Amino acid sequence: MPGQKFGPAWFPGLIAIGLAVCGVMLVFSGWRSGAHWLQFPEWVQRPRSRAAVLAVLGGLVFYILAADTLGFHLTAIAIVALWVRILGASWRLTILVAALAPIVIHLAFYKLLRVPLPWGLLERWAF
Amino acid sequence: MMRYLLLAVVLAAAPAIAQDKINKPVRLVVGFAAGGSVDLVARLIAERLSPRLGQPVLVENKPGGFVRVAIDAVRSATPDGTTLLLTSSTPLVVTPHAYVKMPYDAQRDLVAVARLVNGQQGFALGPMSGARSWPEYVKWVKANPDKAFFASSGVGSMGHLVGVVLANTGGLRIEHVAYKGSGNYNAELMGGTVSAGISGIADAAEFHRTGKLRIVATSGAERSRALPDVPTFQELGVPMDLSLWYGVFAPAGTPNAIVERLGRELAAIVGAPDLTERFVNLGLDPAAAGPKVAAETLAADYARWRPIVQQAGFRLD
Amino acid sequence: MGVLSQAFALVFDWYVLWVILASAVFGLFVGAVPGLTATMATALLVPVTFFMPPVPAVAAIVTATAMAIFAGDIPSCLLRMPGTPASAAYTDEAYAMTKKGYGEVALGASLVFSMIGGLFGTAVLIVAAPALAEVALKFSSFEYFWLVLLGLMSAIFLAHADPLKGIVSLLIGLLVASVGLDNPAGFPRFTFGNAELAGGLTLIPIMIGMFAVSEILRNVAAIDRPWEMAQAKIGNIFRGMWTLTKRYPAPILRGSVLGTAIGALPGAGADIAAWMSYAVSKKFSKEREKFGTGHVEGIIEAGASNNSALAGAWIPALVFGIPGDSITAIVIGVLYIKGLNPGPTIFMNNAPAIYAIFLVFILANLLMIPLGIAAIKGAKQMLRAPRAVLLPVILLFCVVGSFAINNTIFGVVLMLGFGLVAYLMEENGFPVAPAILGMVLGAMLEENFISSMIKAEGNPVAFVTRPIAGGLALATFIILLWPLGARLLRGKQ
Repeated sequence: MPGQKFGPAWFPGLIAIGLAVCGVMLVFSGWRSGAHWLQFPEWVQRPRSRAAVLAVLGGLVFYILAADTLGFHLTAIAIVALWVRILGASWRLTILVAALAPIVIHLAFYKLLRVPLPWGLLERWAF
Repeated sequence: MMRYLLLAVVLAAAPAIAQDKINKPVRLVVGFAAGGSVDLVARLIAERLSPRLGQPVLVENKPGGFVRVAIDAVRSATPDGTTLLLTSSTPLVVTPHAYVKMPYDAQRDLVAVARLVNGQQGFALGPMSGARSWPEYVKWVKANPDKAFFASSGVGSMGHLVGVVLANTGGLRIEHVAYKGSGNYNAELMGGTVSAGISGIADAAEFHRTGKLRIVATSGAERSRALPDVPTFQELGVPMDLSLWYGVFAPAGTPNAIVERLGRELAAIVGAPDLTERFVNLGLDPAAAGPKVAAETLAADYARWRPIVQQAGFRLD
Repeated sequence: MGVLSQAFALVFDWYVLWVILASAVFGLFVGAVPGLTATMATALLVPVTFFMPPVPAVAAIVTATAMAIFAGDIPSCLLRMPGTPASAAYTDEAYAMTKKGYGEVALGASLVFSMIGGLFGTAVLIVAAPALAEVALKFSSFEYFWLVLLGLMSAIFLAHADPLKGIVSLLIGLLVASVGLDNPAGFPRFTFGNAELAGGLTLIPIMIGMFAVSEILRNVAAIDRPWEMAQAKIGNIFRGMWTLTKRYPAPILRGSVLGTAIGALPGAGADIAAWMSYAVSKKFSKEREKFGTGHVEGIIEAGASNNSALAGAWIPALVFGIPGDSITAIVIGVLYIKGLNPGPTIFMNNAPAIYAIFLVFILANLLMIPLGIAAIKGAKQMLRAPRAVLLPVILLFCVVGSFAINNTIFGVVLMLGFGLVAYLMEENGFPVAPAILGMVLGAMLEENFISSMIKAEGNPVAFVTRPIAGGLALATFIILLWPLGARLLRGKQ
């Protein structure tokens, strides 16, 4: 096609070159200033922080994998409970929040904004 | 006795009747960004379909790859009637012949639910060439070959094909510039950077009426009801019959009962007089048909377009 | 005069006023939730407006979007989570102010100057729409190319710490933008045969991930530290607004003008306006070094800009039926459906309706003040919650918001993935904002470049021969070479 000597690969190609050049420059300056190749943030050392971060990430992965099958509501209750508890709240507060949050989201997103949140296992009682 | 028989019949029929019920909001997917004519038709339809189904019908815009992204989204959706595609027939029956490899097969991946309207392309001129009719434009192109470009709403669109056919049979060398939908190029057309635009009549009709653009020819076999004083290319001496239709499709595997129900509702909607007037204004001729006729039209068109595309040398990969 | 009184009658009707109020609250909510944008608010309102007469239908959209663009600033400032892409331009700045205890100044400034910007844009719309629309039409792909390039330059410019890392961030953003089928050739790039990827990587889930999720991760990692929830107190929002107005008249005016102008350009809306205004603000500021540490000037300018862009976008929309941004693209459809066909005829045939729309614009912007105050106070209350409750709830909203864009779980995947990427980036000193800008502008840059190249038949000279294009090109080169030139001059001394 005329003018298409700048085909679809041209733009990403240019970006890749740019990244390569910048990457080299950054590695060079990092090496010169004596920085480590790989460094873990200091919170990794602290068990509570580690657990909390893993819980957040794990909960998100769990949602991605399970939301369609289990349904939004059940999955949300589970992960919110996990998160609230691991961040240090009492059991009472955990249950309260884990019960309320999905309801609020259901009303706001499903009812008001018509976002099709999956019902999953609760399909039969869908309203 | 009769009572029990009746009850039995009703109970037996109940599951069948209940089977065409749709229990969740419906997504009507459109392959272009919001605001274009396909999107407009979709919103008009959605507005009227919603009360009939008792569910909200939401238009979802999934632009990209000339409807390819939208087709992918619909064909891989759950076939329960809650995801539908509204598109012109072009990406289903024309575009596939221009590629050696296609990631989708309309007749295999989708089931036709309804045919809505017929439409054709309009050749719209902006102020750049100063021409107000087709013969004048042809003269201008011959005198300014390096400025002759036409815009279309995408690579593989009907407008693109029309342009290619014009180049072959009309003896007119005009180069193609693809845009994403007509909204993007109308500004340049009116601003004088691109000399012509070829896309659905709806995209330029209003501008034609107010004099900002001039549609000098249409691509179908007969003049459009919306533009009765605009000749067809056929009349101007360029043999051409390139028209399309808009239809609604569901993923393959959607239960027949649902397809039939949706088809009935859609055909009824298109038949309503107030909508008819709107469509005609947009350059679209109501041609409502249910699933069976729509499927037949799809299959017939797919076969019909192959030789046309090949003869025009419309190759895209 | 009869037309004007007719317009007043159309607007000051109980039903219409009620619609305006309800849409304002709706817009406030949608704007404040990260993941829901003003464009989404508009699309969601369309089915609701089907059964309304034209004036309330349009009033609903105008009000909701004006609120939404401002409301995006609330979580952006208090939580570092932009509610809409337009707020992303100055999220870091506003959050820095909040951390220093000046949250109420940031929010107040955002509110008041958004309103001023919106009113300015409306005034321009009323007075000069047809004339400006003609100018807007002169913009072709050549002009847009330079404009977008200018916008991208501003990203490098904004990276106050390390320009090299800013460039890398920008390139990452551009790379992300090139994924998918949606490029001029219609050729699938980086899709690996996956249908989701073919649609490209949607901006909103990525934005939520990069700003909100990474921030949540940071807060969670500090769980055993005491909770220094940034804004200890939010005092009187209006305190000091008048002082600010007197101190920064230029940013207010500049932001409003630039915002209206960019909004008036078809296809460029509030988000681009905000980014460019923020960069312009830094460029022309006398206190340049304060940018990024929590300085209100950029917020004033960009806040005015994005609201005025909303009004500006209606200029080509009303005059020609060409959308000025994604919101007006939908609005034009609504106008057609209601029988209000945009174009020169609309001013002749439907003058009362048009004036009514102008009135609604003014009302909506004024309404921002009381509702905005209520929203800010409400947000303050909600933020009193313990972090064990706040963070999970916000995260859940982010998850659903990311899902809601395309109604696929892939949005959540993007959110998580880019949340991690952003966390890593920021831990290593790479700013996130340029990446977002790259994603916002990447497609426009490529499309306009290719389009222009086709029209120029491969001849690059065409890029500078058109007057406006040439001017923009010059501006770009000046900005590019300015730091170099300045250093050379300094060296000589």
